Amino acid sequence: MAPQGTVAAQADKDINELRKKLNHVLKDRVRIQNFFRVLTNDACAIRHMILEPEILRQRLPLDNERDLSGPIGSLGLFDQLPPEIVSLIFTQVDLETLTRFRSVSRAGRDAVNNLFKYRNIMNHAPQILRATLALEAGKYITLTQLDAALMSKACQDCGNFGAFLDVPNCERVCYRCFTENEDRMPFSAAHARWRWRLTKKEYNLSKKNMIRTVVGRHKLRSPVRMVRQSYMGNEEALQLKMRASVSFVLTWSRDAEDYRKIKMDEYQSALAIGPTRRPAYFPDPSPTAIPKEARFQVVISMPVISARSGNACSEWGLSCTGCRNLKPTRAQKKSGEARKILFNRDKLYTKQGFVAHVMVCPHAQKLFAAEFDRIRQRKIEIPTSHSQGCALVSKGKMNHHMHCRGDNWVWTPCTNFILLCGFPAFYSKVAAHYLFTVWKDGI
Amino acid sequence: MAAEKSSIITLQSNDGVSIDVDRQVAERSMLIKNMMEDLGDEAISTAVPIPNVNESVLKKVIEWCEHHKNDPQPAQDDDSDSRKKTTDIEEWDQKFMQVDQEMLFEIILASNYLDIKPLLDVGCKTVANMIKGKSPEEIRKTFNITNDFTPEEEEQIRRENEWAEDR
Repeated sequence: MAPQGTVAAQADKDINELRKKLNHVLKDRVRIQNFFRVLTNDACAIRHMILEPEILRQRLPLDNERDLSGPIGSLGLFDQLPPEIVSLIFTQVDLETLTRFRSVSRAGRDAVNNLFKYRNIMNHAPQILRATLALEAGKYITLTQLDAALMSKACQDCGNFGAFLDVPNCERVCYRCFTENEDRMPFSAAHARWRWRLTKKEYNLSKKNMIRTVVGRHKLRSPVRMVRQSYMGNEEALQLKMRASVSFVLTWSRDAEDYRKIKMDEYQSALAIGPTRRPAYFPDPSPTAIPKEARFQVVISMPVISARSGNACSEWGLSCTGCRNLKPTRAQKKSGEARKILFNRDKLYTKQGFVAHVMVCPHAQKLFAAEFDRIRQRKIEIPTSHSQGCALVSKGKMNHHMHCRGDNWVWTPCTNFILLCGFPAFYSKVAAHYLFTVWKDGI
Repeated sequence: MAAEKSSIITLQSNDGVSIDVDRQVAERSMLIKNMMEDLGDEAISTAVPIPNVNESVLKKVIEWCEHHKNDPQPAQDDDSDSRKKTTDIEEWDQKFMQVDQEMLFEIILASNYLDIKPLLDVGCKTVANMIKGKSPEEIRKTFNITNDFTPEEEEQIRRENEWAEDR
């Protein structure tokens, strides 16, 4: 068997060419499904901790499914304007008001329903609208912003595929970035008040940009108020005086003792800068200021939309089964690499991205190869219900593959050296020459 | 170029009033700019009729163009500033837009007709700000919309668009 390194090197070399070919193959969605069934799963460690669409649907159903047909009246002054201008205006209104506009009149409800971007969101991912409204982030996020986040593909921070929406910032993020990036950590309202030593008036001003987590199936007993960091960092927008310019670290992995020390230093310097105006409310800056559950409750899964219209399909992200079975070794735990491996286990890919990943991931290749072996030794149960099922059968030197159409078996000679049950399209067209190099010694 | 900048164009509103404006100012309007390019310099001598806009609105629009005559022309792609927030209106523009609703809507229509994108944006943002944060009843009053929902229907819609812990 050729060493895996050769495969990886070759993969690097012509990965671009492969991508081109794969684009073609990926269109053959039905036939390629087994490939993904074997090699991927949709698990991600975070999925059960973040906002759940089902709970959102129960608690915030939205009235869109209700049939309220009736004669459409006038839209008052808006009737003077051509529809494209009305929609231009509506896309700049915050989502909370836009939702409220739906209850103004039948014509208003229709006008909102007919907005292109609104329809786009309702068709593909109504839960992101629900999440935005439920967290009270709808008071500063506009339809344009939410639509831009939905239509994007890459994580705002790292550029990889991002399968989640960071609701307070209205940006697409990936699992690793929103758990690790310090910029993504929201502050608790009490903490923000303490950090910038806000007066009551200033605190009330910042309420405009405060979100409130919701109580779902997780451990939270009551909603937590949080201030998004990107906002608090923006002094001009905030128009608040930052009296204590303290470098601040908020990482949930830090040792409690270290953390306490930093907090005390910060506390001391804050006192040194403005001792005269100490806010009446001075909460204990304990590291548990925002429970982990609350922090994850501002994130929701968001699909990637492949096209604006027509046969648009949405993808929620797949993780690599090969990577999932990895466990960090003791040495890796010591060197600190374990974290990276753990995050890689939960890394999500689009289907297209995953195929590229297979080319460089030895673990996925191993799985792929094992599956291939299983089929070659004919230990596999041939999927009879699957109309596209086929199996590789050796007949002398000539290779045949067997098609299964309903209950009838059809034999066809095949010119390709390798054909696989279940994933013929992918295999014969693209991966054949690849795995051929790996497996020709074995065959 | 300098000679071209100082040349004067006469615009004629739909109620027959002629207004002289700098060519540079008038060319904030893409409609006029394209027309000038198509017709060449001889067109300058004749008055340009603006059939959809009356005198007071035209004056207001020209006032805006005067103030913004040195702004860079907007980029062709619309999406570049799509993420800008609603509150991003210049102070001068905010004051400029402090007019009655009738006028505001007229300005929006005129800027749409004359194809002055930045002015259209400012107008739309102003209207958006007028809607923001208002209750349905306030919106109806502001924009003269009649409520054709029954009270039960309205209550239902309101409830369904609100987060409720117990449902």
